[in-house]
Amino acid sequence: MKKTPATNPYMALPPQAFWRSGVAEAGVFGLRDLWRSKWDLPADARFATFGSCFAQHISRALAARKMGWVNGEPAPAGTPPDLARQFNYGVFSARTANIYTAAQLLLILRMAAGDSAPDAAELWEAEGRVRDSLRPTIEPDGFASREEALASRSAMLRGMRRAITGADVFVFTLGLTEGWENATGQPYAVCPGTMGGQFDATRHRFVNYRHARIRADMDACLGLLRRLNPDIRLLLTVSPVPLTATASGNHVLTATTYSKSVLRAAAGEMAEDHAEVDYFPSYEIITGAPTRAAFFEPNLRSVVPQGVETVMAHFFGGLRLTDPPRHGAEAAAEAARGQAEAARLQAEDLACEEAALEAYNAG
Amino acid sequence: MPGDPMPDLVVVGDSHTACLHEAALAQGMQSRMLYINGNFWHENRMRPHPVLGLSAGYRAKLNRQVSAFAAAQGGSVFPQGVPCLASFGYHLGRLTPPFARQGHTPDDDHAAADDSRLFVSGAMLDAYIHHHRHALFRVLRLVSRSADLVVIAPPIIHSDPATNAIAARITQLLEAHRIRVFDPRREPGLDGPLAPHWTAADGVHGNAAYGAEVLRRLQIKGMLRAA
Repeated sequence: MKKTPATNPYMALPPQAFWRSGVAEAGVFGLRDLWRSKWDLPADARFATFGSCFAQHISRALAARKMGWVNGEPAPAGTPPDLARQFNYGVFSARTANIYTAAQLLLILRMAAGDSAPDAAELWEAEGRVRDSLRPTIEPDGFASREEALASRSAMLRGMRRAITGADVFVFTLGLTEGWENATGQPYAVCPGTMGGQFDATRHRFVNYRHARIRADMDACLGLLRRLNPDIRLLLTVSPVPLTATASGNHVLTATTYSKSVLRAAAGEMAEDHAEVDYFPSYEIITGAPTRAAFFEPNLRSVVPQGVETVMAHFFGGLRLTDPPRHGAEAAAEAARGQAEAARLQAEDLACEEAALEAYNAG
Repeated sequence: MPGDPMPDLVVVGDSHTACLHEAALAQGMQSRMLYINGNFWHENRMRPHPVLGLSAGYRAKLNRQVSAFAAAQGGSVFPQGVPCLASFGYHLGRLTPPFARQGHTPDDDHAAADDSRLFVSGAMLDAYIHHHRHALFRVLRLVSRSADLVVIAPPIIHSDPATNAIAARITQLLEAHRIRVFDPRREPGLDGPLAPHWTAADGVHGNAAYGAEVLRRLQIKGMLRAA
């Protein structure tokens, strides 16, 4: 009897399934097929970007390539770029500032969806100025009053709704498991007393969100996103930027590994469990062994431009913009608005010249 | 022309100068008007000039116009001792449409009333105005130190809350620089959309009757000498 050759599931796997061929021999710039989008997106797909600071790079890369980056709360037209940046316009798809935790995203989405009132999060007052506890540095010098701070928060929530309803993909970068809450469980963007507010040990508590809570919060976020836009997809990433500091009592290195591992696991499971959720491995590209930490600045925290470029090359290389475009009407409407304004200005110019000439005539 | 007697009034600015100039002439005042298209003011490149009072920077044709106007009244656009009404610094028709194009408004009630609007903070508005108007503010600030200057804010053409809020803020910023301002938004009877009998045929300016009303109120307030 002829002996059949031994077989096993690994024998048919592609090179990228093996560390030697997929990583060690490929090297950081030879990594292939690291990510391929789950979805066929429209050729003019629109992306909304939110999350921790690394998400800003995705916003910038999409805008720089003139791809469909949705800005639900842009700066007023005519704002110079440096001024827009100073007031945190154009950083994310609305002026949320960094959203570090799933709990923070959930609160903002609840507000945006109308499930929580816009004033359901604290405002911090000091020295005649008011800061938003959800985004304490959104204005360089804070707000002039509580009313102004709430009006601005409402604009942000509107902007977020616009971004969600106008996007095909909601990109969210998970940043931290560690955060701070008040006694009622309202999450803060930062620890009170660091960038606004006053720390009070009796009212403020440290939280290191565990996997189950993060997963539950992200599932709830997905539900709210789909309620606002039934067609939206959620693309998750994990920020490769290490913790600046930990309040967990552990060494910051182990705290960082723990935090990123929990986030990575939650994101991976979300992608496994939901067809409308995908995971993009920016975290692995920056922190993986092939880079030997070369994508970090000397502070071993900030990501160098080449690292960002490499991440974005994988992102754009893995997108499948194969479906027919679907946003032509919106682009046409925007162009029509611009033309109407130009025509109105031209007509007004003519009226201005005539008014002045008549006056000269009178003299 | 050089050697001409000094005027009773100098009116300098954009197309909103016209109604003031016409009204002054109708009152028998020797008024002189320097009109420069609002687009040039909006460029924010006008600057103070140590002799002429005003320079249009690199725009040679405009500078010739400014020089000729100055020469006719002793060498300065803003001669000392002569009341000057300035209708520049606002140019709302150029400033507001782009600002508000995507629903932005600095008025929180206006923002709250419509889901398409986006509130803009006072600090952001100030920075926006400063970016687009700082050169004009500098001219007005320097001129107001040596000349009898009143800035005349434009009339309310459309009662748009965003435009009115921006105009009101410009007035506040000018006054913070100790520049005297006449703002119809603070004047009983002028603080709403321009009445038909005060509206020019083009629909976007005050007419001579409106100009006369402004002059009358300036005179009552002691901001302008009567002819």
